[in-house]
Amino acid sequence: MLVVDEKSLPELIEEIRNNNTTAFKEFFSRYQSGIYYFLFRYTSDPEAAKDLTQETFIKFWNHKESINNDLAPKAYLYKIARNLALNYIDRKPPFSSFEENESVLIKLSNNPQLDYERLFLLDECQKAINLLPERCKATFILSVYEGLHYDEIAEVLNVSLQTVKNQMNKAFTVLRKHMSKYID
Amino acid sequence: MDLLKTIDFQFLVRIVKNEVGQEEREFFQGWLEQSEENKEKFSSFLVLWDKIQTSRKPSLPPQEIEWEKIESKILTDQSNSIINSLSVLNKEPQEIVSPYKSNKVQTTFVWILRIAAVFVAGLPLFFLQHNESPKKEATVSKVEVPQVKYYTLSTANGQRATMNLSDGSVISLNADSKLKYPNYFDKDSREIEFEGEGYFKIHPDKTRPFRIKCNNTITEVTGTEFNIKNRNHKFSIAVVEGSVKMFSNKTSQEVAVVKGQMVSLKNSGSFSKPLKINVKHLLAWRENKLSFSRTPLNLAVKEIERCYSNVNITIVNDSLKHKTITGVFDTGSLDEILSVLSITHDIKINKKGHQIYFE
Repeated sequence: MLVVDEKSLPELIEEIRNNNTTAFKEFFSRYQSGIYYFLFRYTSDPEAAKDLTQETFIKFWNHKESINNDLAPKAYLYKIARNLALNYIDRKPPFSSFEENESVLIKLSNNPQLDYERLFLLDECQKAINLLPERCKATFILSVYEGLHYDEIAEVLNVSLQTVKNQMNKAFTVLRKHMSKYID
Repeated sequence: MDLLKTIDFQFLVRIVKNEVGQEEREFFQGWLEQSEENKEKFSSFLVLWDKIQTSRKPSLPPQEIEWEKIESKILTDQSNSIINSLSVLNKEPQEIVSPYKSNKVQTTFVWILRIAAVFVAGLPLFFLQHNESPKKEATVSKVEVPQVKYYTLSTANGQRATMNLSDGSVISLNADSKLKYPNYFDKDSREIEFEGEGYFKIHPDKTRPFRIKCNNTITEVTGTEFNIKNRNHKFSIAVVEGSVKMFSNKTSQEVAVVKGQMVSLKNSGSFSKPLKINVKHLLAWRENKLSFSRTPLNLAVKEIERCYSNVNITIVNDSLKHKTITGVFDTGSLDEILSVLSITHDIKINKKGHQIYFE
């Protein structure tokens, strides 16, 4: 029987710090999906998420010396991803109010065909996530989609555990409000 | 009005993930049995949770390919740092923004070559940052004019580009558009030429009016934001901020267009009366969306083609041409657009590679 010897994270990090790209590839394959979908949920843009995922890992590699044993590497990785995503959002032209415009369109149209198209094409959940304030959005995605524990999220976002809890409740309240028309 | 203090969303999440102990579960059961209202609250939470869990997402970019890009970057650290330090010298970064979302295999870091090329060519005003455009790159070519140099930036179907001009103005080009601009503006005016569709954010400068020549019109502004659409020989301008002055070469007519208004050029060469419009609706293209409002199918098809680099749609059945369509489409998936059109308009769609027939 073949036993696959999977390295523990600290072992992997140790090798990465010694410039071992094979270990880094293993690290990438473990966390690519998590980082990519975090960035997709955060930016709502698959292309940007792809670019930012690459940037995240490159930055991690370039700063591998500064990872010490106190700071969880996973939290550090998500921290980089969130910072890059923040920069990306800042650079984007401020055109977030399209949703509003669309809902106006639907209300005015009174056109079942249009409503059908809208429901078919647009994912209301992702749009609602998009409306969350930045920290609230990050908290929600990390918890619900990435399955990070509250203490890990607190580390990524540099906030207290209580703040994480508050942000989670806020996120759900906002999401329920914005998605109520699809739920009731 | 909301859930009980102790039964908050986090608690419900733990319930559905089955992360609670016996005691908490019993407490929850008790709460649920208390009232019909509580049951309803929980069931509406379950629907919300289901929506969250099933929210659509793109497929993961291929691991091997993504890894190769990262590997090439970390292995060539040395050479990149030289190029990066050079690029810092550039004050006018220009991005070519990927026009739509796809999962196709693409090469990053091609832009490094672009930067190098720009340096070799000695054009200090800008550099191109190629941002994973899956298609051919937008091309910049040089047109020799004494003293002031003019450049042309053009986009093909499926492409978009953003240009930062030397005066601080920013112009976003939609697909199939062309911008001719100088390397610098002189002291008393700023002039460019434009074809296609674009969004203009003109840096305020009262001493140097900004003029845009397009389809026999001249748009004069000092500092505003607006969208110009010049498609199929039809010109229209929609003003988002401030006001613009329009001039028609043919009739010498002059009109002022203010925020929230749209004016188009009639065949006679005179301008239409200003229409009040929903500006954001017109700007859907900047959000990777196609927005139609009673648009004849033959025109809508042209817009759809522009969104993709290699798509050709033929309307075989003539009676379809004048059907109108209304709706907002995400340009992320051509197949989705086609299937909605097919269902809602009873169109038989026949797809043969890049050729699409509406029958």
